[in-house]
Amino acid sequence: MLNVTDLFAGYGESTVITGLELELDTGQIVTILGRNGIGKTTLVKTLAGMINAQRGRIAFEGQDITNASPPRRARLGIGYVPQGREIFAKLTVRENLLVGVHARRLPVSLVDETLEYFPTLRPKLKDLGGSLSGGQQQLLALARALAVQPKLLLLDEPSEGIQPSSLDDIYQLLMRAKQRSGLSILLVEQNLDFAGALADRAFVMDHGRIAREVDHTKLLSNADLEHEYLGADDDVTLSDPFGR
Amino acid sequence: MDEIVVIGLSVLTSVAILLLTSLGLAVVFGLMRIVNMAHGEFLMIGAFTTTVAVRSLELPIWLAILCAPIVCGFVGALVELAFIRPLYGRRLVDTLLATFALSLILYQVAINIFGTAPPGIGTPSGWIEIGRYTVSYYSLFLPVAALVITALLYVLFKFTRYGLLARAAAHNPDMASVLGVEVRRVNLVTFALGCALAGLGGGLLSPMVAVSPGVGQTYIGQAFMTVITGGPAFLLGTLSASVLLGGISNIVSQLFTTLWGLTALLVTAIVLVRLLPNGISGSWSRQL
Repeated sequence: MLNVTDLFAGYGESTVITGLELELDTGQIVTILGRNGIGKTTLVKTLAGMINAQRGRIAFEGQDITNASPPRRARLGIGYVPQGREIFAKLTVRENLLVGVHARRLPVSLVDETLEYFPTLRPKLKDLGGSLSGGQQQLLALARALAVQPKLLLLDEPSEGIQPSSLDDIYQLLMRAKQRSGLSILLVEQNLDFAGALADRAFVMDHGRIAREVDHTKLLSNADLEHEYLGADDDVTLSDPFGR
Repeated sequence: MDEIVVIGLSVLTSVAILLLTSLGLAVVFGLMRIVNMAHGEFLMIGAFTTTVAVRSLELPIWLAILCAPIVCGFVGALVELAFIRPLYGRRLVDTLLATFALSLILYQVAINIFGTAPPGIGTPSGWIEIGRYTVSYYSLFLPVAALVITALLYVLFKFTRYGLLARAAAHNPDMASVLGVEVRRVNLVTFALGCALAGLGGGLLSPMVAVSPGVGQTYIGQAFMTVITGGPAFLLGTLSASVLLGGISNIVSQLFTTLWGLTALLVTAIVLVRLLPNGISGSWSRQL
């Protein structure tokens, strides 16, 4: 459903993504691993339309969206959960969920449908987005993206700064969304355990392109891989992200 | 006793005038972070629209006042497309300079069309007697109109689709855009709305003041002070600032002279912004 060919993108004069190729099928969860600053976020932002592609082609469900505006990509079914969540802090939780629904003139009932999967948000509907904890904000960012029932979800480091218990919730939610509606997910992660548990395929990114595919089943708690793919220091060991 | 009632009503009228002349500026600054230096000229266009509609088209005054926001909203939309849109994402000072230039152009155009002292229209008749004093109905109507307009704006921004999208776009335009909000379209509506509000303010003031090309400049300084003092909650903050600044300046005006009243307004605003750099609503969690 998503085809990226020979993509170049970056900020201003500088190019961060250099000739990236990527393919993602319907209902698939693909994860992209790589060290900090390698261009993972730039890739996701380019796919969401926040950064213009300098060269190459992005196709979504057969349509060329290389130069499509962010709202148009949203209408086509691309959802985005940014790094750092970017909740509307002064909007209530309910209003946060309504933005995408209203923007696309979808029925308001979608908010209630979404909340069935996010029971912890329900008692907080009237609270301001900014008053939520980090984990709750991550759930809200996810709910906000899922409320409009996207076909493809772009997820930028959802595990960052999240308690293990919240991360477990997010894992369950994404798996359910995938099974329920055939949602495809492009997941950019540094947490190998989380990525490994979710992904159908895993790629390592380096020098602005996909360096190679790795066996996603071998990502779980593998310190060697962590060192190799993420450039983590040897003395850094990630604890079990699910706290089990 | 009569005197106190009359002074109280006069304070109310002052507060209303301040609120009516500030709301458009507050909406545009609060939601778009654009300092519209041409705000005063939109007040002026609104005032002229009303006087022309009454004198040349012989429309009833109420209908003539309603023409003002329509004309100004339309002009505002054109201004957004031509002057403001190319400057999004640039520094605050860029839009400030562009709208300042626009204000000079509009002022000169008005002089060319209407001259410096065009004929005005009368205040709608009718007054009530309070002891030895008479108060015109119209000066009582202004506070009611100002409150109703503020309430309608609150409803618009709190409960409508456009209102939510405008607040989201103001808060984080990139994120709003990724969620499907056509931020440019929303900004066009917001700017036009701000200009329409300025026009409505000008229309409502036109029966009470001498409408000339410079009429907007009489109010713009106070309007800026009110919006800045009001802070980020652009509706209730501006309302609070109008009550405070309008109240103080009116009382000082009555005790001394109008000039001292204006001085008191500026001094209060300066002291307040010094004490509360983010304005009266700076520490409020609300957005409106």
